Amino acid sequence: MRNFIKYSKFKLRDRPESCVAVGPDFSAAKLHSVLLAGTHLQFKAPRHDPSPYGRVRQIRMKKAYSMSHPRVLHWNMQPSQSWQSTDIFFREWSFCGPWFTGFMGDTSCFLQVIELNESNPDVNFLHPKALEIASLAYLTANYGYRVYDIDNGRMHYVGPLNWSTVEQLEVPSVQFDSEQLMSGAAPERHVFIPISRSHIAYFSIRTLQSASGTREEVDKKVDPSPFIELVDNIVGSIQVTLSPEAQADWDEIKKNNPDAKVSETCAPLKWPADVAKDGLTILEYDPKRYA
Amino acid sequence: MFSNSAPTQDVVIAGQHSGKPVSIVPNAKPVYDQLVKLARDGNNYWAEITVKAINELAAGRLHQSNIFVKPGAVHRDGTEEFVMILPGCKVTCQKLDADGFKILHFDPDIKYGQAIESGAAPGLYTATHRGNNEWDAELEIHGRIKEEKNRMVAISDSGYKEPARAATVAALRVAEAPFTGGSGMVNDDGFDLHFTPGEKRLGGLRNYRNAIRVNQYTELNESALLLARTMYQAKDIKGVRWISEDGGSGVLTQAMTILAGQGIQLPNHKVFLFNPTTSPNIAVQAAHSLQMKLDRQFTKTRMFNIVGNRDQLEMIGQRWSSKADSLTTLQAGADILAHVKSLHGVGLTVGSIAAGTAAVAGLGMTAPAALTTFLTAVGGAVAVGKITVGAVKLGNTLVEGLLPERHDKLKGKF
Repeated sequence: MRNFIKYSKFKLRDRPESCVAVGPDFSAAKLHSVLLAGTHLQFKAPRHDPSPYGRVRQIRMKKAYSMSHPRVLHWNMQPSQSWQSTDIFFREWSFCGPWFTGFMGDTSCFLQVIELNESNPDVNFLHPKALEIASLAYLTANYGYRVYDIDNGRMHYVGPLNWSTVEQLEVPSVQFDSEQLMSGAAPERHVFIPISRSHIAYFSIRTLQSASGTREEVDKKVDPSPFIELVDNIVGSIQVTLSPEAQADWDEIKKNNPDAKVSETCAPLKWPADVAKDGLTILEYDPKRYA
Repeated sequence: MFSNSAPTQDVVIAGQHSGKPVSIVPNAKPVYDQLVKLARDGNNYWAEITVKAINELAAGRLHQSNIFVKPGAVHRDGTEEFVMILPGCKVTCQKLDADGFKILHFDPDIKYGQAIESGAAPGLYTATHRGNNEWDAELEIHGRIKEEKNRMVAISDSGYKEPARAATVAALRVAEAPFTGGSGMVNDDGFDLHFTPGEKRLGGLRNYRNAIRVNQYTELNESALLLARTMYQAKDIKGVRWISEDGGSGVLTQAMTILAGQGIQLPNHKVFLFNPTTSPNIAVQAAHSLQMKLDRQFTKTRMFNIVGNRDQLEMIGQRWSSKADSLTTLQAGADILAHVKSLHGVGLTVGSIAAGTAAVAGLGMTAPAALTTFLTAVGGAVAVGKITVGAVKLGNTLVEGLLPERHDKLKGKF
């Protein structure tokens, strides 16, 4: 209750030079669960508390999804249009400064199920290597083409950073961050978890601190650590129980390749780059390729 | 002859051979040289603008009627001082008796390029829809819009800390313009965003003087010059749609005025003001002089926006009498009627708002939330009473006028 009053969105005072913002109380977060193509996925998320800017509504999760009507990503976001997605869940959480210093930033969590636009029977995303390739290709398809200065190859985004797996999961998984290079970092956590041969559950958890300036200035004005803590808490609460068919697939992969696992490290990709129409092959950047 | 000190004689930097000579005091010369170097680099369009403006002084093309030239003191010997506010640079000049200019003081920000890159100075961004009404905004290095027919460009109000958030708000409002095709279209195509950083919103009642004399609104000069350049460079792209959001109208008006002053025309472009908080009449005049296309509906103004509603009648008159506009007498009459009707609506509702505000005033902090509850209750009660559906609409208009952010949010639910 005290936090509710102390950390509110009302801004009556000037912002302090630096501040540690307070966001939602994760200990009170409810467990959400959903059936995605037979695979049971659950995670914890606090109540939706959108930023005071714009109309960002939550997407309420249904009990089960069969992914029969995926949507092709628009060329404006993904020029290659090689992936399709089904929106499952969206929430946003505001972080506020103490005593009427107001809104200080937000973290949003977007869960989608992604699949290839041209389905490929040879690819099984339950295989750690296939998952790894898919995650890097997907990131490249969405961010690899966003060049700031073509002359010296300066990009708007960098990734993957902090490459790792989701520890508590039995099934293969990949998580990493991508960051913006120009102003504030606007870090985005990407989590890829296969739920069937051809489907991947993809969490994109983005943080936007409300401050302007270079990255150092932004981090000084609004401390990034509470945001990172929330993201880690959400990712730490993910649990997956594979559908019987997917489990059988995974068991077979484990039997045939007992050493198959996701790489331990991965350096940031060399961008600019494009992704081919098959959604997996990373090609050299050509601004005219999908124009 | 034997001294090592720097020459004290003024250096002529422009207009050596023709036009009016522009000289600079020696200690300002190194800074000027650095600026020229940046301008020639090709990646610093802001420096190009600044250097060009100084050169145009020499050509005699810039004079004191230009809106980014602020008159200063007049000296006893007849010379005048004036200040030019240019991107990344404030220049104090003196108009000499012998028809020349002397730069007295040069107050540049050589780091302006970094300021643009970190979002601390105005810049042009490309907005991309990430899904679920969330947007990415990426700086465009050359400050040019995407070369695409019918491209939409939003000019945002100030007061947002990051361009991504400005894009999120602007996207909803761009969709309200009569010719953008709604949210679906805007989300798919994306748009360009002219972003003006700052703590406070532009125009409105709090800045009334500036809001109604928008071309004298000095704080906007920098941003407006950069936008004017963007607009100029887009002149050959067909059907570009410039849409301002709230106080962005001020920046757009100034940019159009700057272009008009240079004799440029943009007959293939359209313009729309969403809830302008600066005078829309001045904007119409500038748009007319650029020969820009205006839709029947030129602004969408929320009810309690005093500045935006203030000179609507004048604006309609202006449009009706102007040759550059296609507004017929009949249409002008209908628009006047519509406007008067909306004012009438204000009169009717002021009473109930006063009551509502009084009722919630005691609640202090939660006022906006309580006010919505109150307004919804008013709407609900009236609907139950089966008086008119119009009253529900009234409740909606009230929410839109008083709590625009909440209206954006509610609107999507119906």
